[in-house]
Amino acid sequence: MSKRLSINHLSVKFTRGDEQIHAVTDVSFDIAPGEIIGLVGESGCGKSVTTKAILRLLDGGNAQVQGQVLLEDEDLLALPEKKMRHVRGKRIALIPQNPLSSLNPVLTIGDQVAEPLIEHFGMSKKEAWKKAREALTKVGFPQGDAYLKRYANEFSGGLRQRIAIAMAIISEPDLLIADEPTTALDVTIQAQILNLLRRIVRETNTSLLLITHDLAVVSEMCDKIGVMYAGQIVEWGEKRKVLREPKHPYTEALIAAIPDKRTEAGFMTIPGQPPKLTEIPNMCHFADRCAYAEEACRRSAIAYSLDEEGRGVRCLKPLSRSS
Amino acid sequence: MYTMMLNKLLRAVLIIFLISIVIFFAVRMAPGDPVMTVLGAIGNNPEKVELLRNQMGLNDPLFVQYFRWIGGVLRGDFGVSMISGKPVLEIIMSRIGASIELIIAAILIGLVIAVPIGIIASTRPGKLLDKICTTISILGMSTPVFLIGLLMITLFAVQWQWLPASGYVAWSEDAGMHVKLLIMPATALGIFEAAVFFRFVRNGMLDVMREPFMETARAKGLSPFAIFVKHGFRNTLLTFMTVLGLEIGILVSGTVIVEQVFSWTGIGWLVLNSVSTRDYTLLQGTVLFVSAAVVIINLLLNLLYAFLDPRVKTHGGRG
Amino acid sequence: MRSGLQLQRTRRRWRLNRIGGGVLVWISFVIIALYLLMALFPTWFYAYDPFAIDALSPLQAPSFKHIFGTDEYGRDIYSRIVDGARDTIFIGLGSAILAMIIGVPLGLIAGYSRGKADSVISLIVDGTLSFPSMLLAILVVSAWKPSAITLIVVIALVNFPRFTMIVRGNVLSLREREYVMAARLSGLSNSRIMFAEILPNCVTPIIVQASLLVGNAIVIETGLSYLGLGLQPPDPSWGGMLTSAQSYIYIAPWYSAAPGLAILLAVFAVNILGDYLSDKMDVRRRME
Repeated sequence: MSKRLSINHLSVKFTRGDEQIHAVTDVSFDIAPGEIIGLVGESGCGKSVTTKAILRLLDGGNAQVQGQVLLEDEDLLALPEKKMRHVRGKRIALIPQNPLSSLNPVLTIGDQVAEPLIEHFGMSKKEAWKKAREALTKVGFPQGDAYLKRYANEFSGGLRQRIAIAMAIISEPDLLIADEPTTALDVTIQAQILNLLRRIVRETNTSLLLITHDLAVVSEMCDKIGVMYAGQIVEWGEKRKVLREPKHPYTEALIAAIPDKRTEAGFMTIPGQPPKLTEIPNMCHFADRCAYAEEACRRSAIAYSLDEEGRGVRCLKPLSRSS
Repeated sequence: MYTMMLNKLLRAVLIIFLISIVIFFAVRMAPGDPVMTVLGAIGNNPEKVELLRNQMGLNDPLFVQYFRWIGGVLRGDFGVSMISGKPVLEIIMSRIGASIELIIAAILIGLVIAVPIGIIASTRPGKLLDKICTTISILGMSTPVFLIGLLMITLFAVQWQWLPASGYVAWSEDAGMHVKLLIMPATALGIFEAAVFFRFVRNGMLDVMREPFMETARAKGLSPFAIFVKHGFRNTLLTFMTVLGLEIGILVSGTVIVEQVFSWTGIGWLVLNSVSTRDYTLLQGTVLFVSAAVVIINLLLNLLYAFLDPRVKTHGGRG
Repeated sequence: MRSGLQLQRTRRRWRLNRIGGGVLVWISFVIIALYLLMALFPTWFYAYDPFAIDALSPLQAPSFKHIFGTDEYGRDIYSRIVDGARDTIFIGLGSAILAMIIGVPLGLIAGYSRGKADSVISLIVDGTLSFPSMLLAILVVSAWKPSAITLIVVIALVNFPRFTMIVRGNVLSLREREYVMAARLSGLSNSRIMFAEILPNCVTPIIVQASLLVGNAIVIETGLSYLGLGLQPPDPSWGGMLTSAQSYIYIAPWYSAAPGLAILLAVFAVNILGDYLSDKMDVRRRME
């Protein structure tokens, strides 16, 4: 299978004073061209940090990143910053989380959308603005360019997210990363934005890494799912298989936590808290909250195993349910 | 937006009115009314003094005199100097150019020093360079301008004799000398301002840096220059204008002193000169003129800000 | 327990991380203490009688005999600096206290009552803040004759709005808090709520502002006395000494060093202290 992006054993730790926080531990996965991957998990599980590590936006801070991030067999983590700069916004583009605060309030829309072309392709301003107009039309803006000279705060949240998407797709990147692209929006607008993203992926064969805490969004959008817990990927695989036959107890619990309208039964909550990641627990990260945990689960760190079908799980006793 | 502008205009007018009251009564209510004292000292003939007082309307109640004064000011008549007999406005106009020149030069010098250093310090907050700059800025703000001025005279005029110590020569008379004489007062004032500007740029940039749109800019792969200057500093620059408005008052205060230190014969020098010659009509007129100018500049900067900042434009009408 | 410990640790680290490792703050404390002692007990510090004229040794350069040299009348500059500390320090402190007495209640009233009182007070605050303070000071002092009282009043008048502004802002945010609401619902009188419930919560910003204003007052006072509008000779004033120094700048360029340094150290120490206090307050606010 061809790979576009391949992440191997990615780990990120932050140093805060005398303390270290292991935000991401040993994360590996691949993304194929035209594929939509959903990365799910509760807040603080390391999904956003993973995306920032891919884009190397953690540089210069107090973060240490280890592992490999291969984009078409080129290790991004080993690139000099100058070259990396031309990966961001050109080959990998980010659709930010909160469209209300992610656009610069004092620059015009046209200026911001056209910027990647001027920066990475050396286009003239005129040419870039023409492309910006096209990109905005692609994300659903009407023809014409009156809005190019307007400012972000003159648009609603949904329109701003469309602007942010136009800004990301304008340079036709190989990979789009969307970090909770719809959490700040109304439900009806959420659906529109997701449809738009799906359409873009279909039309351009770009890959999409979708970060979300919402399993419903994932089940609607994605080809594959990665479930993250406490800095690790605990389960990976085809969407349908993961949702129907979860192998990791955490995935099972997550699915059980979705309120079910048909049965109107109260949804389950997962008792307890994720571990503090000031050190990597030398045991299963989920053991303390797991209903199936055994003595062995607490004895040592759990290895991540990937089968031939591309199904990955990090559990000593994977669930096997055939119903 | 227009109601807000109107509101601001109204406030500015009210403030100028309040200032005029303070200026007038602060002098005239002083023990032994200095205006009367000065008048008494001019003529030693009591009858002549009495005649003069009647002529100048100084025997009317104070508030009548106030309204006569402010009424004249509104018509552009600031009265005549008690010493030279020339119209106050004419004297002010002959001096104001030198002061405006000095202030603009000082602001430019302040910006040239503070903006690059402020941006650089803000890229690595808490690091050595940042700490050094911050400490120097506190030192700069703690140094009264006359100290900076004296130090400069000691070094550049006395010790190394690069520049003339003080004085003023009109541009038309000797342009080279004019610039030479401007360098030190403008720099003294500019260094003081740079300390204030630096803090503002640094802290403003640090605030902006935390904004999510700055991460968007980084994720777009922009060069550090574009990130900090185009995306970051533009935001800081807007709020900077309101700071500049507040700084104008402080700058004028500094100018008064700097002009004295370097005998730069602008408005500040005029104020102090009228103090030493006890020319109270000139003093009151000049102080009112300068204060009103400061309030008006402030107002203009505020309006310009409202006009330039897209956020104010759309929300201002409601707020 | 754990978070308490963490909090303590971050605070301690933060302190060590301060500009110049906190050493500057300690130096500032020492400088301020020295100045206060000079102001209260000048005789402890005198090397000579600060008024003793020695016609035979005018304008002597610094030496072991006169560490900062002598002035144009042969008086010991160091001793005159010590003597001048009293006026500058007391005017600085006095004007800050008076500004506080005027500014804080106005801020309380403006923030608490809002409405008409607030708009009038805000207008006065805005007006005073945009007014070039030096001009007002020059105008008033020249009309009213310079004396310690005039200087204290004038400096307090140009500075009180800073207190008003800060207190008003704090009150506006505090008055919506639950405990203030509760006090109001339980029928406490407005003035009681203001002074018993709200004021104590504004103490830290007031103290920070006060320390900064002492510095500002010293700048204005020395500036006025440099312009000849401060306390009159023969009483030594730091600003006045600088004026004399400027007249002899070609003969005795070192003359301005001592008064200049005296002013600079005073303002710098007070500002460092203010900076330290406001950072400390900031940290506490963040911790909450």
